[in-house]
Amino acid sequence: MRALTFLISTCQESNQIRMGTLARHHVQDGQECPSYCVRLISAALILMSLPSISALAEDQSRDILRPFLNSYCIKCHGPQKQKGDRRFDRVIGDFSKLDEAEIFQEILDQLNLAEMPPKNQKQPSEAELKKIVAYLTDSLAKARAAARSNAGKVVMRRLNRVEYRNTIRDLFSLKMVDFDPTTTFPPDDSTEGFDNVGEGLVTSDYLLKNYLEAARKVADKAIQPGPRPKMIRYRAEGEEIGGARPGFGGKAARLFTKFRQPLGFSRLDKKRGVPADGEYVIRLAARAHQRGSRYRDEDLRYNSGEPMRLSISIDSRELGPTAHRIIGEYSIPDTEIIEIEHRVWLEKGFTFHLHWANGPNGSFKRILRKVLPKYTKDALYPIRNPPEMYIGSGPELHVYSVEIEGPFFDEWPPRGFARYFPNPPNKPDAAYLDASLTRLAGNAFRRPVTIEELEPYLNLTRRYLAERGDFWAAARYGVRAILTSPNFLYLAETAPTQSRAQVSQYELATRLSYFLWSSMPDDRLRATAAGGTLSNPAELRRQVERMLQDPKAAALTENFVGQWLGLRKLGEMPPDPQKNRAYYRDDLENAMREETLRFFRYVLNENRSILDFVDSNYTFLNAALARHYRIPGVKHDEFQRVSLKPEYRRGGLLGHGSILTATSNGVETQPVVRGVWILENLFGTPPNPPPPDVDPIEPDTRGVTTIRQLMEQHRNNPTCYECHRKIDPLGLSMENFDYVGVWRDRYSKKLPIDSSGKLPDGKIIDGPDGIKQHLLGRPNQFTRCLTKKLLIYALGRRLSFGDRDDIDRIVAELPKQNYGFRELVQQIVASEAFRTK
Amino acid sequence: MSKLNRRHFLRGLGATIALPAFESLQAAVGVAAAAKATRFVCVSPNYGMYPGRFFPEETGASYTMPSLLKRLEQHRKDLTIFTNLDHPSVGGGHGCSNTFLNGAELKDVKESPQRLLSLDQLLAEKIGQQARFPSLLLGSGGISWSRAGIILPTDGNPARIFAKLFVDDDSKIKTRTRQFLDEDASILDVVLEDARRLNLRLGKSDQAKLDEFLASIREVERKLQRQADWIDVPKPKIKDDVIRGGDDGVVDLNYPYNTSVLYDLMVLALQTNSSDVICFGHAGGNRLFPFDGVTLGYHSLTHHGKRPDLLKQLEIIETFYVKQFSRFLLKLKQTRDAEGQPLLDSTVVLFGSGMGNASSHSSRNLPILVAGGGFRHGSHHRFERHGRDGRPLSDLFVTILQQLGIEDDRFSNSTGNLNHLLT
Repeated sequence: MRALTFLISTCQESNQIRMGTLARHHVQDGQECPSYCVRLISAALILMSLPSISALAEDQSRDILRPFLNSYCIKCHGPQKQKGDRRFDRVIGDFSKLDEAEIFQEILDQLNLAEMPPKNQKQPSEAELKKIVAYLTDSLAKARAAARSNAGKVVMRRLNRVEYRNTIRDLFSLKMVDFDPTTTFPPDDSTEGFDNVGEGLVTSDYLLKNYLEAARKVADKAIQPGPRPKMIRYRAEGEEIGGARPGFGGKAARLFTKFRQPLGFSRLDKKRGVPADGEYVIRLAARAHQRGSRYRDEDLRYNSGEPMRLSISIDSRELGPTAHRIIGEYSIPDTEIIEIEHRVWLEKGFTFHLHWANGPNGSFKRILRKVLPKYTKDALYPIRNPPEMYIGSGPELHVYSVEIEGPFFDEWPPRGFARYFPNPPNKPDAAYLDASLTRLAGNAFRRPVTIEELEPYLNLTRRYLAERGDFWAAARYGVRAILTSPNFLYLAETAPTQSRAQVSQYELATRLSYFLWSSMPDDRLRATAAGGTLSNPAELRRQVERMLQDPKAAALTENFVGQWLGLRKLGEMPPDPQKNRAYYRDDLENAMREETLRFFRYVLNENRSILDFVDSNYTFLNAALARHYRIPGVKHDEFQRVSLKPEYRRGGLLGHGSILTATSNGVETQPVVRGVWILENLFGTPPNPPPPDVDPIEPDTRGVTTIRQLMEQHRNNPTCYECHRKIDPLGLSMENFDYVGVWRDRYSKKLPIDSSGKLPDGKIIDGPDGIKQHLLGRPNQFTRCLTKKLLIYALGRRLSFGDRDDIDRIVAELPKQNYGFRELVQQIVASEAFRTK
Repeated sequence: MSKLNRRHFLRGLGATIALPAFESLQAAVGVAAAAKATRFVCVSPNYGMYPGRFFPEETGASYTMPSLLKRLEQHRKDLTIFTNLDHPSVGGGHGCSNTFLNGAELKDVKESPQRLLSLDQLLAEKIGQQARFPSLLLGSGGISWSRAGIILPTDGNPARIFAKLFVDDDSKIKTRTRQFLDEDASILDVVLEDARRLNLRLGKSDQAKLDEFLASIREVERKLQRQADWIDVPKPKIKDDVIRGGDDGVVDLNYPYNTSVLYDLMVLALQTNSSDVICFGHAGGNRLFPFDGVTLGYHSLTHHGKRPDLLKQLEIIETFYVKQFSRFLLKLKQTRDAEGQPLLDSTVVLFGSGMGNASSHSSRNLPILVAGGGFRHGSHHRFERHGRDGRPLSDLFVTILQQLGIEDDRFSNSTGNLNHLLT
């Protein structure tokens, strides 16, 4: 037992102690400590009460915690005095007790903030401090994890936005190209980095209102009774073309400016767009006229050096500017008329327009008022001079004819409609309605439905039919109701009758399809579940294999990768356009994203070792990205697989521009962010979050020369250093990659880059290669990291202590399968966690 | 009234009523009697304001207006600036901008999401119900939180806002809307029954999840009812000059140039009693402001590291905010309400952010400025900082609540109020 020491001075206490979940107290200022003799008595009292502390259960707390409390805390927070209403002599050290854990969290916070012990009291040595902080941090993390775990139970997941969209797509076989019923849905919250984890997916009244609205739109799209829609064919030539300036056209409609003179069919615009969903063909004939003219480019705000380009946009009067989308752009030759044919799927109500994509930027009025007077004495500034004075003298895009024909269909009636309303009779009745909606509910609820549970819905629609007499309106109403049911909106699983019960066949099918496709099971998967054989291990393997080869598996790449690697953040902090012209000119942001997506897809499709993510001798590049990486010899504009030489330094994820840019802030690199990224996504050992309410370190970069020096601050505070000694070396080793992922050997002429770092275990690494070698030397670490991430995504819930066995088993098995990624997916599906609830 | 009767009642309403009779209206009458102000506007820049230029040096009534705020000199007698107001339990970080009106972070109150209810939404409940829009959330979002702990969406599109406030639907659309509301309400009856049945089959933690759904149903039913009641009330007739702008070329209705348009819409909304609670947020992000002299993204500038060249650019942007805000205050002074009084006198205007120092992501010493609302203005108040603590910002919120006639004496983590300084 340590001896207590006395201090002869007044205690100061802070007015406010940072609270975790405990209530706040204010303490009076200037409270004086009792005199010396009272302290003596209190010491005696404390000595007498120590036996209660000596009953601590854990060895560690006896060796670390108790002595520390006795030495530095009990005097003011014990039986004699409870400053700030805090008292620590009665705690046992049992972190599993919530109230104890809260106390220790508070103690830890105070130590981290160097608030306690107060500056004029005895201070623990650096070593003691480090030890107690590490002990408390570790124990609390464990306690938190235990308290949070749902013991393997899936907290019911509702469909997130992406899943809702995909499910509608597959439920009704709809093309969702320009139809998105989820545009006004609120964003989904992420838990553990993934937005398909049930815990964080909240339903609010705002979302429910959106669901009602979306269901209405979907029902309108899905129910298409009646014969194939009549085709339209509109053709216009020359001045007849809608939007053409009359009186000057002659044989062609003339365009004078960029984007402000949309050509199209006023008939279409007036009739509120095309009459039905379907594929349409747009044909046009155009020619560039007088690309270079007497007007200077700067005056016209135009570049006569590049060929004229015509773009086709689709628009919706109803949806407004947000629906505007360019679907094609074509180069228009100077010397001859070009004929263009463009096929596009148009939703009902949409129309299209033609634009001069790179014409003079500004209004025609501006040319007449401000440009013309510079070139013609007869034109006055700044009045709006007559158009005849300008027309014919400058550059113009001539469109000779435009035509639209459609809709064309591969099949009729549409597949999704026919699935639920097959061969509708001439006068469909309530019985037909019942049968159709029952079929739909069975698919929408992803399991067989009973008559009694569907009865209220059927009654509702029957009543509607009786009141209105309109069968198809009643059918749409029924669809809306079913799409608002919690059985559709949530992936609901019935309560397990025992711990670790197997999920049902249908529940397993649902888990599987939302894991691999972010959508509902298809007919084949459904049939396998209905037959009761899905849970058979060999059958399960077969289905996984089949599903991974289906195009719908693109969802796995898009949704998992974007979140695992934080790719969704790419674009949040774009670099300065002035200093990074190539980034925007060559559309590098999209190229970088594409590289990572294709890389991931390749590793998955080819069942390559997951260690390729750590280091690889290939990647996927187009010419622009290769230029950015300074990799020679890549000439193709489309993405292709490219072999990497070691001197390019680009193997594995750490060489990907996407990640290097997403972990920077558009102005400079952020070694701490990169270090945390590496720990989180490659090492699988994310650091604890920073202590609450850290007195903000306001960075002062005026006098500092390198970022390494700036981060020395972390070293000065021992409790900051506890975590930063793990983070900083990794981040600083990546400094050779700048904020857009370009390799640099020096910061500037005077400042070289020091990319060495010392890991917590003492090992020295140098540069990204050092990190890669370190990870390759202990492959199970990355395997465990990726397994855990993929498991969270697959289960849609946090991991618990109970999942540890599954993870250990997978980590032990995977090396035997050459760390194949496809194999990892199979193992996860075969795990107990995936098949039980 | 049973559910079935309610449907019939809705259908029978027609165009005969002048103003819907709300239960909450009765309560509001009681509240209005004690209120000295009747409206609330909050303007919040996501990244706060650079502290070095926002806070005056001296306190009291004859403080020198800092250079950043010099446009506000004309309004000196109508506003008050505060130094050392904090949101103490927030603890800094990126999320602190979103805590401006509630002083709490999602991660700290996971078990009790209702603690995230923001000041404006509380006001919408208490004083906003008699207007067509209990609250208007404009610009960029993140500061308004519902009782369910959800961030509420905002609208930054002037044309769309104008249509929402001042353009009546034609009678065909109204009939259709009435029909939809009726239909949706009936769907929800059936869905509610279905949800209760599902609840029986679920495990405990899943049942807790489904409770969210059940609560949402009840809330949507209430809102559908409200919407149905307001359909036949005609909207105020306002000319659309406010969004059409000038005639030389296309008016830029994009941010940031549309800021003045949005402020104009806010004045119109207050004047026509379309809403009594309005929030307007200036977005964060790394956009490149199209102002002369600004060459770096906004977010990058807020991480200035005290470099003078970056601070200079930041000042350009923040001056823009101040200029626009000053213009807004002037308009509020010049526009009269139904009683012939300047709008500013009955409108509490709060300018500030949950982000104190954007460079360090601190939630202490927040930039706070209050105007109008019948308060006693004209001074700069600085609170003492004891150790780390200033005065909780929520104390100001309690004063605002009471000024608006709400008899609460606590809000979020308040410890008192600032009545002695403002009333």
